[in-house]
Order: sequence, then structure tokens, then C-alpha cells
Amino acid sequence: MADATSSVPRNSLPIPCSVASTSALLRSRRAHSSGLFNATPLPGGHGLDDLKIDGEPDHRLLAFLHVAEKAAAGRFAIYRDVVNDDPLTQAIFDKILRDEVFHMNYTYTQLARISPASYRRYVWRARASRLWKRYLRIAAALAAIVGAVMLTLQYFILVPPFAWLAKRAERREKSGWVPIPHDRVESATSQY
Amino acid sequence: MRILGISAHYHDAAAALVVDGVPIRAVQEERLSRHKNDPSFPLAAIEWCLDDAGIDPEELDAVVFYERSMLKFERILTCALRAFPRSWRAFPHAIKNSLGEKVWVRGIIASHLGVPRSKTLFTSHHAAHAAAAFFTAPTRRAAILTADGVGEWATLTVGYGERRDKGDSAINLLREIRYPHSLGMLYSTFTAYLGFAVNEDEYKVMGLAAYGRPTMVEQVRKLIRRTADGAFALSTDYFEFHTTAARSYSGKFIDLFGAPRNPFDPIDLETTEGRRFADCAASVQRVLEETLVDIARALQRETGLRDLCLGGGVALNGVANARILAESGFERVFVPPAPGDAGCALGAALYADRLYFGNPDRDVPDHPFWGPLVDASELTRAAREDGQLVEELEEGALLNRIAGELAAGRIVGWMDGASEFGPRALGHRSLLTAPHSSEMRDRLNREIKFREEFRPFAPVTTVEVADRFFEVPPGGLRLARFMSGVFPVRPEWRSALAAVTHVDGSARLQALDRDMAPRLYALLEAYGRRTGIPVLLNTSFNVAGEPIVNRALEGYSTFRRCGIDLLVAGQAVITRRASARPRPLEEEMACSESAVASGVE
Repeated sequence: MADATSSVPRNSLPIPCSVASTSALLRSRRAHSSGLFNATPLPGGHGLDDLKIDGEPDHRLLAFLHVAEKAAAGRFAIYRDVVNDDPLTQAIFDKILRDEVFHMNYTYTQLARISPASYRRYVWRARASRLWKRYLRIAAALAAIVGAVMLTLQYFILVPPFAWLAKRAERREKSGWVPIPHDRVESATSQY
Repeated sequence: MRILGISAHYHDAAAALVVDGVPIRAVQEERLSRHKNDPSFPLAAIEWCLDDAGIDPEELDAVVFYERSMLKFERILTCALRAFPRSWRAFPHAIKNSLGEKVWVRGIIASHLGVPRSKTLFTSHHAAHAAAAFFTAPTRRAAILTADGVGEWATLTVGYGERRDKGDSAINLLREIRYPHSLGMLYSTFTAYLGFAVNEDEYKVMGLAAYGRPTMVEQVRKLIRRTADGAFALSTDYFEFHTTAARSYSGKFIDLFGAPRNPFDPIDLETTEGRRFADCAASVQRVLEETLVDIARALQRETGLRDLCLGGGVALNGVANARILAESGFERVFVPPAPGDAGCALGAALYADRLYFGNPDRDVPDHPFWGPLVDASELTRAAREDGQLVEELEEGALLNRIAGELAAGRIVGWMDGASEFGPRALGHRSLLTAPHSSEMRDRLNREIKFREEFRPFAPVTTVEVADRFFEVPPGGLRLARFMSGVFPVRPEWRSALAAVTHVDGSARLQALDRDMAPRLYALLEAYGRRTGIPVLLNTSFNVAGEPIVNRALEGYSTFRRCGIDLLVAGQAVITRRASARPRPLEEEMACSESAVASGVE
């Protein structure tokens, strides 16, 4: 947690210093929340692409990075080979590949250094995690297709009468300025 | 009173904390998550705002969301119904998108923050824009004009705001133009047509416009007709943004303007196609400017006020802002540092403070630096571990050293204090270089920013000497405070300021006030003493596709990945060492395998 008192002098407002870490509070709330309001059933605010480094042990992070870099290196090796007839593009892919290989090796070396007894196990666990996420992606994509089919059916079965009403209302609308009533009270709590 | 403002779910999510009527923290989610234009619920930004201020969620008096989500859902649903049956592809997507998350804002906030649902408040989208523009501007009474793509239904509003002698304040929005008639969507449609990313690359259209001639203005006017009451209406036949998520423009649009640009093809201004795209950009830019100037002029006549506060994403168009200042009759135009949706987080919090709770007006500090502080020790530690040359210098020596390096043609990563709130780097997370040669501009584009050649770079100079180098009209210095206006470079200085002079002789100037960023101001003075021209090129500290750097380590990572020569944070100066000769790939691959085999196993 950042030192609250050290950041206060940027303005002169008296801000009470909290003893508890807000981050910790928010994290614990999230852990206990039902997930009902989470945007996605997949972990993290950014779905499967989320990467929370804080709180992760070094060995897990290094194993994850090694596997990810190795996968990327494999892909760029293919790209490099595919563009045999274009030396300039090939040189670019070669440069990127070199970078990926460096990262791949560096993370592996560091993982082996900090966990000499079990670094292979960590790498396998990271590979299994990628496999699990791949399954989740497929499952989510399948769910999205089923959802889209259901909604499309509803669109053609339920929506037409409402669409007719909406189009009729649209024809009556005037373009140009729409006055905002002077006495309109902005509701603080309404979502409408 | 402690109020948290939140914007999210469309683009540029952000959180802002207002305590006793004054903003104390504000940051965009993208700066923390490192996803550019991150639209997701800004948990990291909220955490940082509360954590850094030492406030628990329970201590918040209100959490204010920047738009009325159910009203927005109503608009999405209504548009889908109106477009039946053409909307059949967009409908499932829109419903899933809205019902999946966006309409449950109250629940999301309660779930994540644990605040009672009664403490969650809402403002309308354009009211938040208006508040962000008016309550942060140092003016007592001002007309207000907000324009963006779309909020709930409104796409453009006009009105006025006032701070009364009794201490209370008011914002009165008089009228609005409603979706799908939208200046923002018109511009975004051309952004998509020209092969750029919507809601992100609109400024590229503005940059490209300077290379073209407005030869297609009449065609653009077929898309947007002026109504008898002084507003405008889009001819919806030319657009598809209101019927489908797949494409913004229709076949009729293509018939009128020709084939769209393939995003993967470079824009070659030497070719007919390249010039056609530049002419398209110039034409839509011209029509946008004329429409905004007309509306602003009518608003000035109606209100009789001297000041105008501009808000909404359209207010990022510096060329249009400068024309509004020059031609609408307003003497001063105020554009906040974050006029887009991110700024709505701050606007929503200020709106609630002043208007829902009726708190007395407070002057808002006139700067954009509400984000996380840079930690120089973090930088020096990382750089030393990485074998880079690290120096820690006393302030005067540091400024002289950096001024000398800049004069010698070096590129400097400059990190100072709290990060900016908004899309512009205004001197706390900037890349600085000498502005004199076009080679420097090309080097920046090629080695650092990895971006299109037609995009200009911005200059920064001190407010006292800005008029010497740039043709700043009366009131222009205010626009230039947050780099919100584009002004001509004086002809006699164009060759000496070649790196920041756009093809049409203009520049998006930042005129720096000493109080706003004293270190950069002092650096400009030191550079001026050395070269006679106290002007620097100031561009955002990031590479293409990434958000502006936030922490020192992100600055260091960017420094290591591109051709920046020096990195400055606090008193620390990191100088790039010449890189070692790259080893052959096979040698590289074999290296770590042997290291693992011999050293560990």
C-alpha cells in the first residue's frame, strides 16, 4: 500500500489515513462476491487475458512467462520460415524470434535457479494451465454461439410487432434540436 | 464529503476522487491495466484512487456513475428495433453486451466496493461532460457545448453554467441533438473508412487532413444537412453504425466516396489513392469545423457570454477548437485536459458534489496531474540491476545536463511527479527532443513511436514566449495550456521548428505556465539559454499501441525497447549503454540450455 500521508501534500485537504489497505479490502470483497455481477464468468476483469502479477509467487510467474514465450517463439519461427522469399520481412521475424528466444531462455534459467528441485513441475503446471484456459475459451465461444442463436430466434419471433411500433414512432420524430425542459429535475438515483 | 466518480464500459474507463469539492486523485484504467483505451470496469483505478488517498470504500459518501445505463440500453434496443430486420446480426451482440454487464452498474459497484446501493448515483453522460468542462475551468459564467459520439441519447448539448455569489453553482443544458445525428459518429465513420481504429485514431484523421484539400466538402454535406433551427441531421442512408456493429458506413457511402482504405495498406501521399484519402479527411474536417463554429456562434449570440467550455470527445479536435475561438465570438475557450469519456469520471463526481449535494463551489486546481507519482528509486534499482549507467544529480546540474543532451540531438524520456489525467502528455510523462529538424521527427516516428509519417509532433514552450514563435490569437494561450488548440507557427520560425511544424504550417502547441509544471518550465528555460529557442518537441511517453507510461518501471521498459537515449525520473538520469553485439540465434538458444544443464541439474 502506498503511504497515504506522503501523498497528501499534493493538496491541502485533510484526508484521514486509513489503517486497512483499500486494495486488500476490495480484493477480499471480490473473493466473497457471488460473481453475479462479474462481467465475465472467466477470471479477472479482462477475462482470460488478465494477468495479476501482485501476489503471485516468482516460480509461477516465471513458469507462465517461459511457456508463453516458448509458444510465441514457436509461432515466430513458423512466420520466419513462411516468408523465405522475402528476406527483409524474414529479417524482422528473425529479430523478433531472437527476442522471444532470449526471453524464453532467460525465464527458464531463472526458474531453474530459484526452484532447482521442482522447476520442471512448475513448467508442466503452467502448460496445464494454458490447456485449461484454452478449454475455457472454447467453452465460452460455444456458449456465445448458443446465446446468439437463441437471441436471433427471439429477434425474428418476438421483436417484429415492437419493431413496427418503433418505426412508427421514429417517423413522427423531428430532427434538429430537442429542447431540454428548464424544470427537468435530474434524478440522482435513477438509471433512466 | 468524499465522492468517487466512475466512467466505464464504452472506452477509456477511469476513476476520480473528489474530497470536499476538490479533485484529489484521477486516473484512467489503461494506465494501470496497460490495455490501451481499456473500457472495463476500472477496479485498478478505483483501488489506486482510494488506496493512495487513504480512504476506505465505506468512507465514501457517494459513488457516481457517468451515465444512465438503462437509458442507454433503451437507446440501443430502440435503434435495433428501428433497424429491423437489418439489425438481426447486431441484435444478439447488443443484448448480450448490455444485459451481460452494462445495465447492472449499481450491482457491480455494490459488489466490488461494498457500498450501500443507495450511495450509488448517476448523472447523464453529457451532464458529466458539461461538469468536467465547466467546474474545472477558471470562469464564473460560461456557455457550455458538449459533443461526442453518443451518450444515452444525446450526441451534442448546449447550455450554460454559472457560479453564483452565494457559493452555489448551476449547469443548465438548454437543448440537445439526439442519436443517430452525431458529429462524433460522422467523424468516426470517416475514421473507419480511412482504415483507422474508431474511438482511438480520430486524431490521425485530423493529422491527415492537413495533407489534403477539401475537395469533397459537397459530398460530405450530403451526409450531414443543416436543419432550419440551426442544428444538423445525418442522412442515415449513408451510415450503418446505428444498425450494425460490423461497419459504420453503407454501400451508398462507398458509392459517394469510393472504395475504403485497407487498414493494412500504408497511406502513400504520392499516389492518387493516398491523395483521395487525404482529401476525404480534409473535407470532413472542414465540415466538422464549420458546423461547430456555427453552433458555437449561435450559442454566443444567445447567451451573450464571453467564455465557452467545451466538453466531449469532439473537443479533442484542436483545429476545430482554434476555429471556434477565432470565429464564434467567444473570447476564451476552455477545454479540460480530459474532455473525453475518461474525464466524465471527474465530471460526474463534481456534478454530484455541486448539484446533487448542493455543496459550495470550490476552485479546482488548474492542472491535469491527478495520477500516480513516479518513484525514482524504483527506476534506479532496475537500471542498476540491468547494468545501465545511472546518475543522481542535483536539480540545477540535472537541468543543465538534460538541456545539453537535448541540444545535442538526444531523445529524453521525462517522468516527473504525478501522471496526467487525459490523453495528452503535458510534461510529466513525455518524450522530449529538440524541435529543429525534420530528421528528428522522422527518427522519432521510425525508432521510438513506430507510427505513420504523416502524423505531427507537438511543441511545448513557456507561456511568456509562445507568441514569439507561434501565431497565438487572443485567448489562444488558454487553449494551449492543455494542448487543445492548433495554431500557425510563425513563418520565420518554421524551418527552425521543422520537427513540430505540420505540413500546413501549424502546430498543436502547449504553452506552459511555470506553476503547472515547474521542472519542465525550468528545463525549457535552460534549453532556451543554450540554444536561443526555448521550445521542445513534447510527445507522449509510449510506443504505438501502448498507453502512456505510468510507473517508472514502465518508462524503463519503454526506454529499453526503443531508441530513447536518456531517461529522467526525479533526480535520476539513466543513459543508454551501447548494446552488445547480438549473438547468432542458435548460440542464443544453446546458451541457456547449457546454463541450466551445467549449473542446476
